[in-house]
Amino acid sequence: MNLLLLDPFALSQEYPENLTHTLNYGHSTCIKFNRKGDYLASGLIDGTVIVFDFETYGIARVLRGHTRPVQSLSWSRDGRYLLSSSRDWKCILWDLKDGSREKIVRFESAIWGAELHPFNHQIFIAALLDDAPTLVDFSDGTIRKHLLSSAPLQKDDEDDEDEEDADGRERKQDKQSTLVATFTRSGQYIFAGTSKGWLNVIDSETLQTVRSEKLTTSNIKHICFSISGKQFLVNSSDRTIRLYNTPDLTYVDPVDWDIDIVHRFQDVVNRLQWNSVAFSSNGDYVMASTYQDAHDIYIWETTVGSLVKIIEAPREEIVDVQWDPNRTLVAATGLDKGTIYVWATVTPQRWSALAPDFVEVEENVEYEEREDEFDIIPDEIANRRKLDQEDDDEVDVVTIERVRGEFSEESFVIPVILEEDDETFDSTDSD
Amino acid sequence: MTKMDTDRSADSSGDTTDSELPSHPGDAIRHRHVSASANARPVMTTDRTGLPKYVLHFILEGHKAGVTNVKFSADGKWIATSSADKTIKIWHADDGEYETTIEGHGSGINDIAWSPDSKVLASASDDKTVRIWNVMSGRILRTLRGHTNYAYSVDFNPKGNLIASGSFDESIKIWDVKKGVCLRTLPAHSDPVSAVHFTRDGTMIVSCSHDGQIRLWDTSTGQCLKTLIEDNNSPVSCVRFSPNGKYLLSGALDSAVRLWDYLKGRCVKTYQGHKNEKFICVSTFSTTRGVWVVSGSEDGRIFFWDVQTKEVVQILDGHKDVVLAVDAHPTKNLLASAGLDGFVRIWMER
Repeated sequence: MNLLLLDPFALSQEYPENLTHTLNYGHSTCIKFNRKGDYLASGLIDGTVIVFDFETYGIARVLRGHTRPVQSLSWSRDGRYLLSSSRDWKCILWDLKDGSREKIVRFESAIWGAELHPFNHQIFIAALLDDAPTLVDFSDGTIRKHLLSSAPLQKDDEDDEDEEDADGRERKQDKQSTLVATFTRSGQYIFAGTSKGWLNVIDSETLQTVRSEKLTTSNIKHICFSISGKQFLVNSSDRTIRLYNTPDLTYVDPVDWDIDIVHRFQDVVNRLQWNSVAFSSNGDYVMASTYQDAHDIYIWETTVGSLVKIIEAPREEIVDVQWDPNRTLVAATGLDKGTIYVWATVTPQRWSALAPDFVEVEENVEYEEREDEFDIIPDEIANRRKLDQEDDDEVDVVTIERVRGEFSEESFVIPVILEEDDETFDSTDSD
Repeated sequence: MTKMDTDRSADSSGDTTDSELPSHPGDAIRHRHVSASANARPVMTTDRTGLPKYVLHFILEGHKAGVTNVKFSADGKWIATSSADKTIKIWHADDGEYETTIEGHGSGINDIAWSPDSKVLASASDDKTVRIWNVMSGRILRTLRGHTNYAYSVDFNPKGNLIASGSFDESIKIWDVKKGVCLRTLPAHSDPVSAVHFTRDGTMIVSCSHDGQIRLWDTSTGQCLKTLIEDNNSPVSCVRFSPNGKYLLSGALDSAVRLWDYLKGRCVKTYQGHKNEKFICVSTFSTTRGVWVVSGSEDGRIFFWDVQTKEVVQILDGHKDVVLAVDAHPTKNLLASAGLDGFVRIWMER
């Protein structure tokens, strides 16, 4: 509701400039904002999951259940449930209402990452180290695991070729494993990236691979959709981040999808690897954290693909980066100490807001005195005049109007618990 | 000392208002006679449907001094009352039965606010602290220290993780409820801050002061977004957002309740007829059936105005002294009023 009164210039600042907060609560390995951006979940190296309240920068919940470092986090749409995967080969679905474990799912292998279905918190997809990617469904109470294929779809014309050759290729392709799997915005398809650079699109209903595309020759490390779902990023170990337009998934046959590359982002000079990639809240920017010595976060703009900003991180290499889905705010975790750094925009106070007759002017303006400006008017007449100026228009004090740009969905509010013995963590806010 | 103490209100309004005020009592009384006799009386006798027809439901008796504020809980089950006798009392909203007394403040209590889950209460007191209580056990959960003068007003944000408090030290403090620490101090006004209120989405805070100003603040940055000024500079005693957050309702010590369109920065309606020159008479909206503006008056009556026409549509008589606060039930046609006479009256629509 404050949007209409905010300085439009402040709102037009599109990427963060200043380090505003440093959160030291254990060694964080991965972070994730909820859809509203008012909570940030942080997975620690000891397996604890912490949910930060990003209004107070304090802890809203501490979730204990994993015994090894947390590998990935995923929020449900309404923000009530949080899925964490860990190197202890478990995924836990947490109910943030009371911090209880809604479901624990064990796997036979280490987990690369797990992501919740965007509309059903009882379905998730997990990418596993030595196993096929698995769609887990416990909507009816029992845990059902559906194994998905990592092998790219064979095109019909290729099958018609020499059989031996096809077999040989298939055997080779069987060896590749799926490293990342993510749902499309609607949850209709799963986009999975393999160790051989293939993108497999799997129908989340039929569990069949409907389309495969070779995007690169090396590992696909991340696939991430913009909030609108119109574009997606692929980060691979060939030191290139590729930006694609998402094809029309609903009305076009998978065979006819155009998976168009829009930009390739890379550091040609330093040949940097990228640890993590993310879209900005409006999808206009792409950011990535650099591998090893550089300690930077690069921000590119997506229309022409130019580099607009390099955020230098203090002292340590940045592993995970996340952009607040509703604000110009970036959070990132450090590798060595696991500190969470927060960059945001800092706007100066507008002096014109402090008095109704203050106006900020660009240059000197000759003041023109009103004819009656210094007339002495008796209070009674002045009051009458004031009342006359009020219009008789209907005022609506009840109906709630939505303002454009406001996050208007119902988002779960984590209850504030005051009587529990509070967690003792060292907190040093560099406010 | 509590908010109903006449000395303080006079002190705080300062020299400027001494020269202002004398011209107004006459106005206010005249207005009162005009509107009360010409508009309100006929309305009350005729049985026009659509108008409020509140009658006394029950009286809550127990406070040993003036009752400074009365608030229905968000779930509508409870009534909390704060008093100059240093206590908070909790009552059942449905039958008016007494539930418990919360004690702990060293001085009179000026304001109370329910948390959104209706389990926790915050109170602002003349002992300079804001305290957070477990309503059912009466246990103190947090004591927020930092104000250097009387804490005067308090409000929870809709998520229940922040508290804003206004004080006689002329500042607003924003507190982290969970940690119990001050996150931000806003150098808000040049006179005591008489009220603070969050919007329904928690992104803004409105405050008002005896310096005659109403200011809007951005919760996350602490910056002032807008300032509204009463033309005659009369001290502003209370302010709140309309239920949809588009307008502000303010009460000033020139016996006027005003509705502001804060985006345009101007007053769109003025409600007059009651008397309010010294005390902080909290006004509110009643929206459960019809949309009314309700305010207590220093003559012991309670006024209902039609939001659109500004006409007085009902007057309730009963309190023996100044009516300091009124609050409307979130869903039922109930109104609570608190008075300097130490009684709380619950009114119900016939």
